[in-house]
Amino acid sequence: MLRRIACHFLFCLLCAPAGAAGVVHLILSDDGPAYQEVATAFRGGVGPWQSVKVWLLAELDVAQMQGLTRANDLLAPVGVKATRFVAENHVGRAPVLALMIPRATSEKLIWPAGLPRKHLSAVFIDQPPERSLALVQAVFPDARSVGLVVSPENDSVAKALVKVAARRNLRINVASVTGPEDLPPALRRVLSESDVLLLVPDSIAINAGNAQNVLLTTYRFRIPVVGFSQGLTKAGAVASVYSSPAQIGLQGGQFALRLNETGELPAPRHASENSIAFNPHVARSLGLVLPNEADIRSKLESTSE
Amino acid sequence: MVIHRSLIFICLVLAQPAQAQSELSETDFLAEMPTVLTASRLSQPLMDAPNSITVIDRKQIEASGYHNLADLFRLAPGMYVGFKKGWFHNVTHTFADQYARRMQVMVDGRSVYLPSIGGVRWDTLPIAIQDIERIEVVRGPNAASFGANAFTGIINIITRHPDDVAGRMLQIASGNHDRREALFRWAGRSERGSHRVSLGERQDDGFDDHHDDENSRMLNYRGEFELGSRENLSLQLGALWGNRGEGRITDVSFQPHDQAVKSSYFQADYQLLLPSGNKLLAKLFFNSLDTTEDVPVSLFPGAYYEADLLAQRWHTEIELDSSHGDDLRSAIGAYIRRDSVRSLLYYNDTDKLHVDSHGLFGHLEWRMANAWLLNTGIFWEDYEMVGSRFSPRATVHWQPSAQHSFRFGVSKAYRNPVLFETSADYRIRLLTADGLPISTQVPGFPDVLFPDILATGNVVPESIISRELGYIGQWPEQDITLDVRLFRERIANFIDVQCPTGKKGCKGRVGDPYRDWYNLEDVLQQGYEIQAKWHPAPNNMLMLNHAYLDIDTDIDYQEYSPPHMTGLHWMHRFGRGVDMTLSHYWVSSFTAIDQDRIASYRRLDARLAKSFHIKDMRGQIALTWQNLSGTYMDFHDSPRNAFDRRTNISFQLDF
Repeated sequence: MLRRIACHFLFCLLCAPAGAAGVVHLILSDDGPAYQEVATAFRGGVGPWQSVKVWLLAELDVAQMQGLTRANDLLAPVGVKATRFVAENHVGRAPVLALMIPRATSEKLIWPAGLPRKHLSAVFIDQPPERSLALVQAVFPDARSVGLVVSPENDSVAKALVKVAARRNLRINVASVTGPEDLPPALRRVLSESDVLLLVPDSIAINAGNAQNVLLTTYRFRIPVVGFSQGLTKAGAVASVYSSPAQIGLQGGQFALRLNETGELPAPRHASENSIAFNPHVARSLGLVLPNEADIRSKLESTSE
Repeated sequence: MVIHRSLIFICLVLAQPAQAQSELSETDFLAEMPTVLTASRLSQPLMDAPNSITVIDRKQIEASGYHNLADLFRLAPGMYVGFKKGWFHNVTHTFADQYARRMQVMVDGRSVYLPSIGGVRWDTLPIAIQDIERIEVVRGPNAASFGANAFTGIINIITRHPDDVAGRMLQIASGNHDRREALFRWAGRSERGSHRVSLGERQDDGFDDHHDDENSRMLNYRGEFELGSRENLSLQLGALWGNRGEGRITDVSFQPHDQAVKSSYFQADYQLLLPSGNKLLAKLFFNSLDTTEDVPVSLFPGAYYEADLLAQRWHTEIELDSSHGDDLRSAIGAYIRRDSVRSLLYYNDTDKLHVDSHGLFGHLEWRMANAWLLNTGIFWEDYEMVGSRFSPRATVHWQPSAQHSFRFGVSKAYRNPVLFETSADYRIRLLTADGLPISTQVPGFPDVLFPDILATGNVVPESIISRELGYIGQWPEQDITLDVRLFRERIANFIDVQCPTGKKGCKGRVGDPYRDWYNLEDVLQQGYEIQAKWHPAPNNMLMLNHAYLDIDTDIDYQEYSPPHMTGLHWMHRFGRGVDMTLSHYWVSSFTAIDQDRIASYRRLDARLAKSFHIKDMRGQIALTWQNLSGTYMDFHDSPRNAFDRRTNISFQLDF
């Protein structure tokens, strides 16, 4: 009997894929439905050969975190809070795949010097500038100038958008705000010179707190808004392109699978899968004729990342 | 992304701690945002409106270069604009009349219609063209949405939100006919709200050979207060005062003199967004126009009579806008109003006369199916002296695609007689130069003359039943929009002043019957209005307005509005901040009510402007020419009304 078990065990060892990492530790910043969605989709993407252990950030203390980082298992923090916690307490060589965090925040994080590049990656929650502008042009083919209001934290995003816009024959009017009191005049100036306003998440320029004022002002100016989330579209943006938690989780799982197979994580990137939301009521009220939804999707798909 | 930790550690110790709250995180993407642009906040798109509406927006207002408010209406089809005097402007949609009483005219929803003699004194509105955001011209009746006297159309002038004009602005202008104008505006935010203050002054000599010069000083204020995330209060007040040249040397009983004008208003609008997304609105306003004049007569040296006229209106209303699911929107409301007038000359009374009215309104917008929309409404009003009436309306739209909308509608509306039509008792009381009754100077001469007009108050409101077919088309790829309206309107009980025998000129001697107001025969109006707009390039716009009106009636005035009116506008933005506008009008011959027939005319207006920057400030110089085509008689055939070429230069600075 023992012999059979031993053979079975040896057989299993031989059958297991090379470099099986064993466990992936998913660390959720919060137990809200979005994070659960990421976890579920991640499991689907990671495949049957790895097990996924889901932690809530609140459950982990510093010692436990440091312990996890000393092992070889992949750590996948979901959300900024969890990612920051991992970064601040990383004392080992565990690979890290951050999920559902904004690119700008991700670039500000500091990781241990010894951690190799191919063991650090992320799937961002925001959209690549190519895709945002592709949506603007697909929905508003006659637009020539796009307004953008950002604070310095989005400097790199603004620069990237300007570069991509130039290639697409679009002009971006950027207004920079350093505090909430700068916003109304900057918004007005940009709105009076633009055909469309593109919103990117920015703690000063657009957040749940001032969304009302921003959207009411754009409506008064009769300028349509392209947003970055389903929530913003429901609030009043004519169209948004966004990647859902499930889409991000699935891609994260695929990244983990690649790490398992090749020992390397793919480079950090924006989620490939995305969804588009429209607000037909606002479009109609502005007298806008939205192009066919299928056309818009195909135009977006044809943009390379 | 990989940075040497040791180096960074030192920097982190020296650097400010990161503010966790303001850092960008996934919650900014995932957050549920309150629906800001709820159905009740969204205005009805033009495609879905039950009338043909022309929107004259800020860009068009600036590009036109017009400095008289009335001139802006040349940009809408079917609108006749005429100047009876340099400062006395008429804007009408069918029914060109000196006292243009058949349109409802509002500023930010506040009616500026005069309850005394009807119509609008455009020259007394305390509003600067620079304060206007846009003008909505509704062509056709719509009492259910706009209340009483929305007879042949509605004009709603919407002023600019203080947030949209923050900063300071100075504009000075000068033109021929001794025209001077200056405007200073300041707008900014305080803790709880935004404010806009405008101060202006203008003068103009008017027509040559006409004693119609004007000068005015004006100030207005608008404040927007956010009382909470769901409550908003808007306050407005304004005043204008000045003088107007009146009278004619050739008129023995109306010699040249000055009319002093004082107009003022106050308005409060309260908006509450209910948790259900519905919106509650409450409005209160007060208007006052006081004109005072001593009219000299050449009959006796120094003799004159007073022609003072005071008109006031108090109005309050409440409205609830709701949406019921995705396909049904409704608005219901109620109002009460008091109109007051005082004039010894017009009403033979030193006390104020009041007319009270109240009413209810409601309308529904129901998307019955994807391509079918129903707009229906009803207005009920009880107007003292004439009783209560219902004004229903229904319009069905067929919208086979997002780009094309056809509509068929029927609408009924009433025009209540103004106080002069119900209660006129026009008696001249001549006074000596010292203000004593004339009999002290000319013994035996009556101190109170026979009434020229004595109203028995028997008139009933005019009514209009309008049937129209409309079409709105949009071709976004070519950037063309088209608005076509075909209409057939029957007006009953047309009110006019007449002698009992039916002849116009029965005034005169003792014993003669006095003129009174009567309801006369029906009028049938039919025709079409077209507006086409085309943007061949982003910096270019071409607009064509055309209207045709056929009038069939037995009343004396058979052609009271030009049968053909056409306007062609070209606006172009060159590089380096240079703008150019050319507008050409063709107006056919007609006879306005109580005026002389005028010949058809053409008129070419032009504007050239250059914008520039001086450090942080934005400036603009503009040259405008009105009527480059040659002098024509405006509104009334008389050499006094010869409208010649008007030139104007203006300089504006935003700082």
